[in-house]
Amino acid sequence: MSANSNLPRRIIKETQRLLSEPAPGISASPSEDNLRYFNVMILGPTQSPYEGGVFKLELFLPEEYPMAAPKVRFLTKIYHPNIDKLGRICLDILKDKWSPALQIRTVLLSIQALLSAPNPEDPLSENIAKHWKTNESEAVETAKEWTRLYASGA
Amino acid sequence: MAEEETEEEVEAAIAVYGADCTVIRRSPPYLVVRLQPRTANDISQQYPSVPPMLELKDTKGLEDGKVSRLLSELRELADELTSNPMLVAICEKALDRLTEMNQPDGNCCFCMEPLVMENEVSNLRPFMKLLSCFHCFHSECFIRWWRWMLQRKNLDKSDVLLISRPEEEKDVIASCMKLLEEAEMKCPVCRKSINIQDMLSIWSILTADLGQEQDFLPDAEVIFSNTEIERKAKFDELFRAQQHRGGIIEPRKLEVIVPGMFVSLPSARADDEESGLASSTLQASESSSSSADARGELLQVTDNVSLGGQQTGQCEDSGRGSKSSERFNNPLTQKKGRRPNHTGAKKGYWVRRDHEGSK
Repeated sequence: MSANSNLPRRIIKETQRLLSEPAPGISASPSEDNLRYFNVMILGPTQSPYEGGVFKLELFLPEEYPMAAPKVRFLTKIYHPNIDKLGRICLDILKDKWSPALQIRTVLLSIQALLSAPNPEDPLSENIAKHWKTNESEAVETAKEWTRLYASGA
Repeated sequence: MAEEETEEEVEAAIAVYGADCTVIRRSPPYLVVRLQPRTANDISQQYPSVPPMLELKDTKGLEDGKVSRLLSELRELADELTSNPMLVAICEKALDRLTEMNQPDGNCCFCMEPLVMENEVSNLRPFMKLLSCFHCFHSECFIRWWRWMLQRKNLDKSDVLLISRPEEEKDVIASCMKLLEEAEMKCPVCRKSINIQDMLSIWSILTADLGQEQDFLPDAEVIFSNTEIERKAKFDELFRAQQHRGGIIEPRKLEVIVPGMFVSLPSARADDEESGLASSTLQASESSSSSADARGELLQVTDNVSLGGQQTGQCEDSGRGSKSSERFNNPLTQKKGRRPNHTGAKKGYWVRRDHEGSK
């Protein structure tokens, strides 16, 4: 797909708005070769174990978007009960709770919120979730350590 | 002066000043009269030579911009009509404008275009409203979504679609009930279940003929502005720095992503298994015209996923089962052949990545 391909107007509108009015702590940039593929950066929210980290994600808008949800995955390693080692994210709005009224922006904001509020009750990584539930302060320390090791910016 | 006359005068004062006049003693008369300038209660004393003061009250439901626009229009009219009778004219104008403004504000959640275009004489894109939650959509957008949902739930071919040609009203109700029962549709904005009342109000448009949805060229100047190029450079720099420190999740064995390859979704898995690495590479060279391909190098193939040291042993991929159906877990095998057309394409997508520069 080249930059000259036609796209649904909604994707164009969303892209232009993402670029011109980025949400705080979130940056999304379409790939030159495929305007349905976005390089995403999310800053670790303050007062979370991910503070100070810059997390890279990839986001892809499938052909059916916005009827179907975007595909999003962490590229940067992250220690989080709702994110597995392949970077896949357990978030209801990316699955059965998707609605076409949601947008790239709202999806990324939700992921940012998930970093602030890990939910070990609905885990994707059982072991991290168990760690979180049995010894939260230690799990948070591990998350901070991973952030420092893998997600520090530049 | 006769006492009688004085009495009459007091009566007259009471009659003229009413509540403002307090009689303390009738004879000899002792009155306290509260006096104000005669014009004290007139807001616009010189009306109509000076336009009246106008104010809009109880504007709930009218967007702020519309309130101020309406008010300034009315003031303009009042200025114009100065020295002429204008009260009725102003009220009539307000009524007309309110009628015109009685349309939903904001954008359609599907296409993100305004539901009603400003200053458009005839609304080219009719909208509809769900009666139970008052959310509005362009009719065509809603219908597209509705049909897509039915298709996904495999209801598009079932007899519930008989609602297209119902003979009688009771047939309509029965069909709608059945459809709701099977499809469990919810408002895309608030997730309130679409009920029979909503259905009956929209069923007639659900069978409308729709044209092809149009695609548009993106504005290259915005997407490829200098700011964007700088930002991409920062992204790449960050990626390389994190990769250098082992902070990037490496693809699993056999997950070789080649720029230009087609990654299938789980439904297309079975017939993809046979195509192997050789054809992946072939695909990459086939489409070597793009800049990404020029730089394109195979992603590192790792025998197993290492998440960086001993701590990582704790993080296991537990998402198998329902969650494993997501594409990222699927062996990223590649589909032979050229890019599919938009319609009837196999589910999947084409990968182009421009940050695989480092080996």
